[in-house]
Amino acid sequence: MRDPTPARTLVLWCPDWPVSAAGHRPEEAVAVVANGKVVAASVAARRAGVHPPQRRRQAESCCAGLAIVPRDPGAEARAFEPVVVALEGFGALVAVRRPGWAALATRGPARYFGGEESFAVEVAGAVEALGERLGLAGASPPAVERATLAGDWWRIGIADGPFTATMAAQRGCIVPRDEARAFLAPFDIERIGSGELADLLRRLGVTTLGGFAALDETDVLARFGPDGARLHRLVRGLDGRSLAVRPRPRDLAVETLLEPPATDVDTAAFLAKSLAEKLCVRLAGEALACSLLEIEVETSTGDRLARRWVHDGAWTPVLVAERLRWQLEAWLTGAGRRDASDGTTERIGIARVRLSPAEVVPDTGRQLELWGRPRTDDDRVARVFARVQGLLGPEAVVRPLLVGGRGPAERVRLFPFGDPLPTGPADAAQPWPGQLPCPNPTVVPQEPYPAEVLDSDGRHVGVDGRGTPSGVPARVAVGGQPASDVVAWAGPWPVDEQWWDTAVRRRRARLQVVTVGGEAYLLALDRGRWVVEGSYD
Amino acid sequence: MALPVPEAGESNPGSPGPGQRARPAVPGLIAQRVRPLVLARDELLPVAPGFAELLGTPGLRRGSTLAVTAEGARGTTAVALALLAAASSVGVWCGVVGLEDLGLVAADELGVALDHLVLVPRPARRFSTVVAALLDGCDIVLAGGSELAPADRRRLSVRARERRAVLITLAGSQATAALVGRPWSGGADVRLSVVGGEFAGLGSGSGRIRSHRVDLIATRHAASPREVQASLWLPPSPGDAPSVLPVATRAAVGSAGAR
Repeated sequence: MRDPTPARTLVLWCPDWPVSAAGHRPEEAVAVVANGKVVAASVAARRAGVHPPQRRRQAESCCAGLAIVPRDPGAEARAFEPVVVALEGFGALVAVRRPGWAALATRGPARYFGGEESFAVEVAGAVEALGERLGLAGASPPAVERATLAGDWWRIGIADGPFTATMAAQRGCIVPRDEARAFLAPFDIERIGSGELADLLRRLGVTTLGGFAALDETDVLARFGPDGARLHRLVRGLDGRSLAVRPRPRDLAVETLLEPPATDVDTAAFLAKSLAEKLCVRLAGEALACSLLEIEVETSTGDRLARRWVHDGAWTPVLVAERLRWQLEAWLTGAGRRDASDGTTERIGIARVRLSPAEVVPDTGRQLELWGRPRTDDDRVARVFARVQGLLGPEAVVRPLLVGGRGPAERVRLFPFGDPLPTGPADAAQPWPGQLPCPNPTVVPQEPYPAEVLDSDGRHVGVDGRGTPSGVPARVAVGGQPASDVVAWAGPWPVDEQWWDTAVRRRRARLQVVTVGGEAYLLALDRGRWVVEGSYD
Repeated sequence: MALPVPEAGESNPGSPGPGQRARPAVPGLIAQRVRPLVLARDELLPVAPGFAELLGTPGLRRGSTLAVTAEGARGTTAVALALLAAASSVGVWCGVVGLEDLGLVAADELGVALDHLVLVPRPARRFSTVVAALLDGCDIVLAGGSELAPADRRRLSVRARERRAVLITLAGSQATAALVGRPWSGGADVRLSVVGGEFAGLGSGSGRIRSHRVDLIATRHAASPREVQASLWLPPSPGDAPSVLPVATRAAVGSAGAR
């Protein structure tokens, strides 16, 4: 498999974060509304039947006394910042998907704390303490029977890769290594994260993640394309994304200096958008997709803050600007406040913004939409070949690459479509003494088939050690057909390959013949028998 | 301000008067962009110059079906590869279905860009399904080595027309008798038949094959059916720029039209 072993990941998930961030408790019937639609609801409200993406009026009609709160993304990001800072106390590589979801690679910290369980308990303790300080904790002390990895407003899960860890966080549990697939199986298909795919699978009779995982990989690729295949890998517990440190991709980062420093978030976000456009163009030029983006900002006073953001699809300028806005909302106001308390009157500005892809993957069609979006030409081609690979198997669709060699068959290597072609030394262009000159035969059989070369007396024509034929080729019979007269011939051209190794040494003699019927063949004498290596058709 | 403002058109006596003012020259690029129609001649994929005479158009017309068949002579594979060459070298994706013995070094020598070539060598019993699928994605699909029911042939030709792709079918002179299929020319817009040829450069025990002359007869099933005969050298002798050289071109409006 091309996927690396999934990295153990801890996910801190805050259900209904918009509600918690607005300062409401789960027992209050609260719905957060944006554009007339419910985006989040408290536990009490959901019990009464409020659920996103209901319309506001519907929500009000099914829950009496429902408090409606308008959505404030900036406030959500600000409220989540202390949580991220608390997580950073445990490990540097915190990745944030959105306010209310953060992940942390557990490998190092778990060893430090003596196991994943004790590590999770440590994190849980820190988060709960933080919640009490911020006024997010419940009024009553946590019930005894409640799992230790779930609080009023937060859940923690550890599993293989971020996808499974998110599911584990919803249960507040730790999924042991290699048990991701069994753990995911009973979950509803809605959890797959793609509404359209979930809807389609449900109509096809697949209602659980386990049911989706049980489908054949090639069938999934054929029917749902590369994006569906990616989700299929996730539900089988093969989450290839990792949060671990890896060599930074060379000079893909883009940065801009702001002069004068931007003092409000909107200005910085606007500039970040054009910067993000530059990054997207650069990544597309390298045929890469970014799965983990690091946004680093520096203030006029020299403070630096870097955050890592994960996103499943392609990064677009709008998404990058949104993440930067979240990051700045949380930090700029916080830093400004801190400085104000120190007596500094000068406002903090942002002097530098830097976007660097922390993890890139080859962009092999993962940016395809499952439905709808107009595709570029190469996307369309890739999709079609993926479909044929789904029909016949991945090995059935191949791309050729010329390599060094002498005979027409050994100069070609075939690679399944989608596999990266090797970019080694271009030995195809090197001189190969004894190589058959242009033109090569247009038909090269997979398995050379036998031929008979006879001289005018009907005797077998052989070639001696000095490359001299034992007779003049006069008649040729190929593939068991009756012999026909030779009108022109040339050769034999002896080739002695790998003579330094007795095990693989190969001596051949090649002969070109044209018969009276206008057929031209490339024949080779191999261990005393003539075979047809190719024909000119 | 009291500065005299020269009136437009009067400051320079050489300029045309207001009635016949010169229009600003619209750059050709913009004119192309804003042109509302896609003309038939823009729907062409490039093809080596020697084929233009045979096809009757300076390129491969999108949506058309070409049949390359052998009539007692060798060279169909080389002709089919030479048809792909010019288009693939400008970045057009070409799919090849069913030709498991295709000589890819020869394809490279004939000018086919191998990095835009994708092969499905053994489609087994899904031949027509695979050809239909590739017509969705590739601009040119070369299909050969298999027999098809007439209904399938028609269906694939229609598919090519719908998807604005070019379908090239190859039938005939495979090296082994077992692979020889029935000529597949039903529904083709142009049929290229290989009727003769000669290998140059080979003597009795000397020289080597340097080039292959292929004599072709093109039968166009257009509004005015006609036959064109031409000979091409594949590959061209070194030093000559065009990859296909017509040696003799002779148009003959004849038997096909009378039928």
